[in-house]
Amino acid sequence: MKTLKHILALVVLASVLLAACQPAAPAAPAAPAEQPSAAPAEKPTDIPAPTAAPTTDPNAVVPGGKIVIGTPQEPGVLNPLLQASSVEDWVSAMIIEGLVLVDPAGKYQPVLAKELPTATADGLTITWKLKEGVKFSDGSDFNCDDVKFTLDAVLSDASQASTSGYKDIETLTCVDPFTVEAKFTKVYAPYMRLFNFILPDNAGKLEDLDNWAFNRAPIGTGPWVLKEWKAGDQIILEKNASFREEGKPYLDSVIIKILPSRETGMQLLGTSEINVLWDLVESDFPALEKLADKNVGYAGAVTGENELLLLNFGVTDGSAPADATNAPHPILSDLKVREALQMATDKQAIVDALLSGNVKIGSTVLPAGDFACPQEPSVYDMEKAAALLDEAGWKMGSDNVREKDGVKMELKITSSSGNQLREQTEQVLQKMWEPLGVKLVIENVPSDTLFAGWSSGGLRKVGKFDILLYTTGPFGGDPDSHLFSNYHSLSIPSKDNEGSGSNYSRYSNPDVDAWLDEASATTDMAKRAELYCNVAGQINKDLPRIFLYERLLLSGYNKSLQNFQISPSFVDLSWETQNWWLKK
Amino acid sequence: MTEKSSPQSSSAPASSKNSAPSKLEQKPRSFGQLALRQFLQHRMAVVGLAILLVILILVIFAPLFTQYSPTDMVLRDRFQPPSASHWFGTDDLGRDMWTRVWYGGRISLSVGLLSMATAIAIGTLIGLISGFFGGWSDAILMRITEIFLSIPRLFVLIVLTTFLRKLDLPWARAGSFWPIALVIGVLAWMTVARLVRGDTMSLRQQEFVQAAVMIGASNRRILFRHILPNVTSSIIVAATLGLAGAIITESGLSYLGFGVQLPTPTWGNMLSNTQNQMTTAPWTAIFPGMMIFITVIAINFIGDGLRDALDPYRVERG
Repeated sequence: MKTLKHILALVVLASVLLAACQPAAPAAPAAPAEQPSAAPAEKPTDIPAPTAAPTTDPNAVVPGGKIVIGTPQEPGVLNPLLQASSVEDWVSAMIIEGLVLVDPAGKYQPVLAKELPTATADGLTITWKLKEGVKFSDGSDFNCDDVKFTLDAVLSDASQASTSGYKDIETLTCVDPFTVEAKFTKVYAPYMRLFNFILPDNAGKLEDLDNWAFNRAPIGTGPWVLKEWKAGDQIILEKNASFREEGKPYLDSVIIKILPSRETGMQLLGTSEINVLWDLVESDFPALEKLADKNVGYAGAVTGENELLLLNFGVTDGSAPADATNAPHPILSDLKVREALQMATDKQAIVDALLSGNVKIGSTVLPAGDFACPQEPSVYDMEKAAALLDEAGWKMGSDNVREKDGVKMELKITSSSGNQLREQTEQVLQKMWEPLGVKLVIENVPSDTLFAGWSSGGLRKVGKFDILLYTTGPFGGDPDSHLFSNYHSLSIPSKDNEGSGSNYSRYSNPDVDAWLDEASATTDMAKRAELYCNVAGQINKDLPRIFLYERLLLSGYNKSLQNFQISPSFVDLSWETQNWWLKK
Repeated sequence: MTEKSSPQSSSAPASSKNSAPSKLEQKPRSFGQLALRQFLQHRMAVVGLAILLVILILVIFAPLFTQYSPTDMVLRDRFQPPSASHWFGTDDLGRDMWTRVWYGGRISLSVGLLSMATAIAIGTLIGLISGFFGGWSDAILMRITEIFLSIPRLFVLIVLTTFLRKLDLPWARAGSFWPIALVIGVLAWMTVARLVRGDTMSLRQQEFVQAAVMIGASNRRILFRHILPNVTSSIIVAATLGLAGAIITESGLSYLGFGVQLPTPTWGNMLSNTQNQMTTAPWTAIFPGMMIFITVIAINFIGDGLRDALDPYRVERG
């Protein structure tokens, strides 16, 4: 009787403990077997075999079939004017196309435009030539009126889309139905990125944007048409019969399946219940490799972003110095110290160990795209690093931490807590710099503390850090705004500019400022590329940031799906989906 | 001291001086002896105690049981499954899990003990004052207790820990477990206070307390010499149960990233690092998780046993 009572007590206790663990630990390892019951109620049946393929060539396209894309997030709206999350971006990119989009190599490609737009010599007039004979999925024709409508829509009050560039358009004229000419009030250098979505001019009344039926039943020129949207479950896309390319898309339908978590997605990918799993990160490589024998692979695109160490040139008391020269960081303001830290960082070892060697080490702020500017990667050399620190006056102390004028070489590294890959990186760096006599202290904070805005005293904005570890870079094509907001001295957040800008290093170099100003005042692509490359080179000399590795936009997929590519832009995995087909 | 002033001491007078063991008859024993006997009869409690002792030895003398350091990483040996050279396998940076589990236990158990000490110090004081003096002091203190009980604990924990860290005190730097232990303690005293208050109120009516009042003993003397020793049993029980709770709270906080900073291992932050590798390297989750589970269960059984053993009425009947 007594033992029975004890056993009972134990069971009750155990369950209470498990329950107690739950809220604190959402994915508590204590409950690994527990899969939310929301898992596929109706399992997507596997790809039906296409009716008798007569072709003998195994590489010949076999049309037909359907695929399932798993996503741990569900879109809310599918209207580029209202979209606010990346899942909404790529799902709507399957339906709605733009004039010019970024291809998997990071270069601009004409999609609905016949060719890339051209600028006049003064850079104030841009001309787009449109493809002819294109129809929206509702049967209406695509022409200049739709471009005009899209411009009005972007600039309308209810629109949430970025108006950058669009608001500088003085007049937009339809020279003929398939030639669009825009006159700008001032030079808008990254004009290629304009009109990356086109809405049909019958989409709805602009003042009534929030209530458009279009928002959950979008109409575009893309290869897919939305057939059904079961909230919380799946979105069914069917082929657009009037798609502009003959015989395409090859597949009959694409199902976007909403999953409870990425981990579930990994399992479904292994059992071939889904063909594609959207949005993986580099730390998923080990799990992906385990699925290699199930024909699972990944597609990635270099986004132009780097995982990087951001070094603070100014004081770290939170006073947000606008000028680091008057209030220099006691350790990091010395260029020799920064060079030594980069030399003591074995980037390749980090990539090999933590990312299975699947990404490239970081070496430049512009790794990809039309403006790519490759630079010589830094050399890993501990001895030289030590010599540099000696030279700079940092002498090794008895506790194996360097010292200069009574200041210990102790640096804090900060990232948002809970990111496993970053926590790993930090610990590896700590070990790497230890023999150099640099004591790296990890002090991670919740992401809202770190990334908070100026008025809430975000650590990054007010400069209350030594070294930050995070990712940034020119994402999705043109580096104009990224370089300006991260490296121009006008972008140092301070009281004077009410904390705008992302130059958290408090980095200031007159040459860089001049090059950036010049580049944003011209539409000459070659000239801009040259100027940006100057900037990239100077950044590597001044080292406000140490680039660790290039980030990828990743998705896992079953390799039976052909032509699956990622565009390093909002388009993501929806690049030329009309060319997808299933190989048996 | 405890035994002498206990209300039962009258039923077992002076026999505690049993330096000469007389086996002639099963004569009355001291409270301590009876309690020990009672505890040893509680089989689960004994098992719990044995397990906890083993864990404590492994944790305190961790360096003797391993050849590795808890922070040394061998990057090419990441995610090694348990083997002869790594009994618990290796973690995501190629560190020995066996070593990290025991070093992590140091922090986790320290947090548990320290926070419980804090909770008991505060809780006992408030409970004693509230129960003994009654009246408006009781009313005020108990309302405060109720306010603390009604605050969502995790939320306050997070705010307080962040605040303490912002002050940048030398003892509350990153990697230190002091702030988190204190904060957990400051938010865990309410149960103790209520228990002690209840016991004190009933003890106040007992003859030996009345007698002390009659002969003019000061309040302080009555509280600390007569009443406190008699509420220790409740305190001990509450402490063991609270200790388990504190370890779990620390795990939760570490999991959320508010706990002890890396690379210092704790059972909690070791667990928090395993979300992505549950399927590929389950041992990285199983071992720290198991340690929390086993420790908490063991402590709970000990608390259970202590409650039975220290129950005055039960002792009398036994």
